[in-house]
Amino acid sequence: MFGAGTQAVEFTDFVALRGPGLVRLARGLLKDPYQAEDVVQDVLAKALLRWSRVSAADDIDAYVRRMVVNACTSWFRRAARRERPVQDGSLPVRVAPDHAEPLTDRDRIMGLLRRLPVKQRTVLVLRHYEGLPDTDIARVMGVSEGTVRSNAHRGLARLRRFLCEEAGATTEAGR
Amino acid sequence: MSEIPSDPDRACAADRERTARLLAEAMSGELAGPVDAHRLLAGARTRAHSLRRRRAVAATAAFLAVPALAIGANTWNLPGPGRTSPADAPSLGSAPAPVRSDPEATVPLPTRASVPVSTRASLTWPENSVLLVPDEAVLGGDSLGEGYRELEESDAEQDVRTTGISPCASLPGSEVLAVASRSIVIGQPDPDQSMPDEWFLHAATRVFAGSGAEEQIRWLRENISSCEPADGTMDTPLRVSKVSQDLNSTVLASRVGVSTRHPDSITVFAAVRVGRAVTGFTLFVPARVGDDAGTREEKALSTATSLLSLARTRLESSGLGPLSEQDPRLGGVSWSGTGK
Repeated sequence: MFGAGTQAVEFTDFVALRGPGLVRLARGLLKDPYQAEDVVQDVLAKALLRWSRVSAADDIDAYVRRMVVNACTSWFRRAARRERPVQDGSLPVRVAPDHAEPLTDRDRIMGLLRRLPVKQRTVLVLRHYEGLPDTDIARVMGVSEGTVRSNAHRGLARLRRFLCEEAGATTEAGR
Repeated sequence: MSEIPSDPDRACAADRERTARLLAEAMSGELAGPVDAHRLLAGARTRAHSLRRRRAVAATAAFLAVPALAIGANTWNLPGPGRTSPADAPSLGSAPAPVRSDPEATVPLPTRASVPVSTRASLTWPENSVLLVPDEAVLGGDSLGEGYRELEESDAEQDVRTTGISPCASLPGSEVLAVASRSIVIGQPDPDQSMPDEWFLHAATRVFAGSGAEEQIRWLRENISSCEPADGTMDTPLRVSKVSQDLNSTVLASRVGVSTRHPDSITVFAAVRVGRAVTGFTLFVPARVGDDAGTREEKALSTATSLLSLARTRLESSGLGPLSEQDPRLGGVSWSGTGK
């Protein structure tokens, strides 16, 4: 059904060329980067089913990238609905950081990035990883350029605050 | 002694560029792990097969449900709590009907009536069948609220109200108009005005029966006011223009610059059509927004454009717009920035 024809070849070429990039984008957008391939497979399956429409888009990359961003956003919402509070005392209390596996700066920053609200995180990933201009980010996210700029500003400010708070806490602990 | 100043804001303010650089470096390192493109492709194909099977089942169910939907639209006209009877509902060109936005009085709407493009061609849609796209499915969500807050660039008092949907007009051919509204309060409402300083968004959902674009435009021009509040908001004929058209959708919009009660306000009516589904909204921009009419107009149109884009994206992703159902009469008209 999907194995022959021009469209199937086009789709195969697209996945070979752009698939890895889409997975890397999803790794940045999702709180759990191990779900990235799962989400992108879902997106590509939907794209395959309507490839005639997707391939007619002015910018196929942008079209599918938007699908990935939307899918990641939906993933957050579904995940949030699945999350349930647990009773107090049901989780072990960690009294001290685990020094057996020290975090690298990279791990730390990525962890802090994943604490940001979804929209701020999305803007920062599209801007600082994908290197998209604000106009393209606005188009991908379906928001205004002003919204992109304000989310980038707030996201970066919050990230800086997280870093400073963490640095301050580390310094306090080291005294 | 700590190198971090006691005020985190001050400490971080000097470090913006470095943070951005660290972030970019972290992402390029963390996200750049290997990806197996062959596995990705195989997974996508397997899921596509599975999705197609599920959609085929859903399409059968949707086909069976279509008559029920059409009947459902007609049942809105039955008298009852929160429902408009045929006698109450205005026909084309009649006097405005009151808008019922009480959430308690809403009519249950199907949340999804989409039929996949791949199987739609094999279906025979009954005459006068309807598709119904609730506004929540099109304009709801976080993006809308945040987009509005962005316009004012202020974190002053804001209130996002729950959307309510009510039928407000019955139209020929089993068509029913429903209006939903939600508003974001910005700043302090003016107690001397019945319409405070708010940005209003009224999302109109039209249930229609395969009408062409010209009919859609004519209908919008002549009848959109039938669901407007009977307070003289509009005193000029509504002009509707096509903003844009591509293979998948058509965007219609109109701006009304004069209001008898709020002379400097701007109201934008907008609708987007994708295949046989249409949705729209009314955007009211109060006089106090912006320093002058030009700024106000610019904000109104940019907001409306953004919302239309959002609506179009969601309609397209809902699978309601097969190209084969596009009306060939569409086209050749460009956005003229229509005035009042």
